[in-house]
Amino acid sequence: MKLKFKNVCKNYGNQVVLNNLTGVVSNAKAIVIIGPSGGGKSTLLRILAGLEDPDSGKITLNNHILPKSHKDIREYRKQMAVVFQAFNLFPHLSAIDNIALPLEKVHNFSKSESINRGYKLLEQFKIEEHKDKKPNQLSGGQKQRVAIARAFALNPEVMFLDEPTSALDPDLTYEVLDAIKELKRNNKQLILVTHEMKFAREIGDYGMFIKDGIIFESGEANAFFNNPKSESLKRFLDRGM
Amino acid sequence: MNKTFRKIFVEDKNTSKLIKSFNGLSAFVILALIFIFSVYKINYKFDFSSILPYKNKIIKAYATTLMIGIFSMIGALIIGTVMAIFKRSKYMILKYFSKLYIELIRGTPFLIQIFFFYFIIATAFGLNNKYILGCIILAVFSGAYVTEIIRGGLESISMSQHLSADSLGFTIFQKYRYVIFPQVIKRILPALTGQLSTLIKDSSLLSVIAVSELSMNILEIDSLNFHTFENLTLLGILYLTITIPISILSKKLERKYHYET
Repeated sequence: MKLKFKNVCKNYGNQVVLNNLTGVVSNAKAIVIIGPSGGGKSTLLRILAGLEDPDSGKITLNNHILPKSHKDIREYRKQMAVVFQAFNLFPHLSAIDNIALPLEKVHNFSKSESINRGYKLLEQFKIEEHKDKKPNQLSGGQKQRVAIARAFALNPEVMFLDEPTSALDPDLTYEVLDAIKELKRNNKQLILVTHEMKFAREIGDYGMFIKDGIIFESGEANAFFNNPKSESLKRFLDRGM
Repeated sequence: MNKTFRKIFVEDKNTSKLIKSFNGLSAFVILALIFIFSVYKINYKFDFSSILPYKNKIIKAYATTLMIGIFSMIGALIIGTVMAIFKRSKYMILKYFSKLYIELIRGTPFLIQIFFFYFIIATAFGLNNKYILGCIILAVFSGAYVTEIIRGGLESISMSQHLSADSLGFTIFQKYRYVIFPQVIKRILPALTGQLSTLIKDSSLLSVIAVSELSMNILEIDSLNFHTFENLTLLGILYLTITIPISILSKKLERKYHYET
């Protein structure tokens, strides 16, 4: 995955969320974005995923250029997939229909193909026994695995995960982390915002530390995690241990 | 509180159907007794046979009210959906048009609106059929309330659902069709069927422009047979035969769309 962004700014009202971010990642399979809450990580992720426009700046992800026009953004979103902190499953649809609906309506699979593919994915993420349950009947960890399966089903070029375990009990976290590792095993390109430092080290091959709307440090995972240069990243990692 | 008393009169999750029916029946009996007592006090003898000669007239009027109700509800749903979408539009003229419409309709009496439509708008546009006009007036009136119901439903769907649908690449139409509206319908169904019942009852006001619906016909019969109590009792019952099935249907649909969030 190649990612380049230049002078990316984003304000909400008077609040500066992203303050002129610039960065280059030339070759990574999994970029992990870490940093304190409210620092701008999720906003950057949503901008990269094409869900929000930056106020200014230009972004290149692989061979896509952002921001895009209203018309092109849908094509871009179709090629990407996002997993949210709060799962965001559709509450009126069963687990399998949550996966099948976008396949059928957005990616033009037939209904039976969509269901088949949905079932295979539920199997892959070990939740096939819950296929007919509505989201409210699933545990947080199961919901998030359905959401991951739904995103993965679209065969996206890049998968974005926005704090996928933050809303979960600690003992449910591992099953979702396992599911994310499954994505990595399937050679998916990932961009991941997380508070799970141990997991970030394990899965990431490129790290980015964002605080107060600024990238304090970024680089190859090994050096980034084991030998941080900036004081603030050092302190953040020490506290996260 | 006495245990047996509680068991019979206080509802909990173990209360049986039998005990519920008993309480329901008691409430009904109390109401009926009040009614019977009142009738007894004024020393009136009910004679429903006086209505019989007008059977066909009543059936026709009943059908008219039903048809007006159905067509104006369809109209109100269309107007309500369009206006609710207008109200959320980024185009200001649409937004303000919708706002103005809601304020005007909800802020003025229905009776005034009927006359206004009948004497000014219908005349200006050469609309002569009172039944079509009646449906339009009712649809426009009810549409304002339906707009607010649908708007409330749309606003109750959290942004995360929109974000999620956007991220999956749905078009705006698909997003509303497959993700947003199915959730909205479930939430607004009780309010919407309530509005449908109100609409059926409000159709009685169309008698002021001589739309020959149920209330108008019963009042006509009243001026012939002078059995006011019988006539009005029948009128009430006839309206109930429309509105109670609507309530039952509503409960059924609610169960069908039921899911916890």
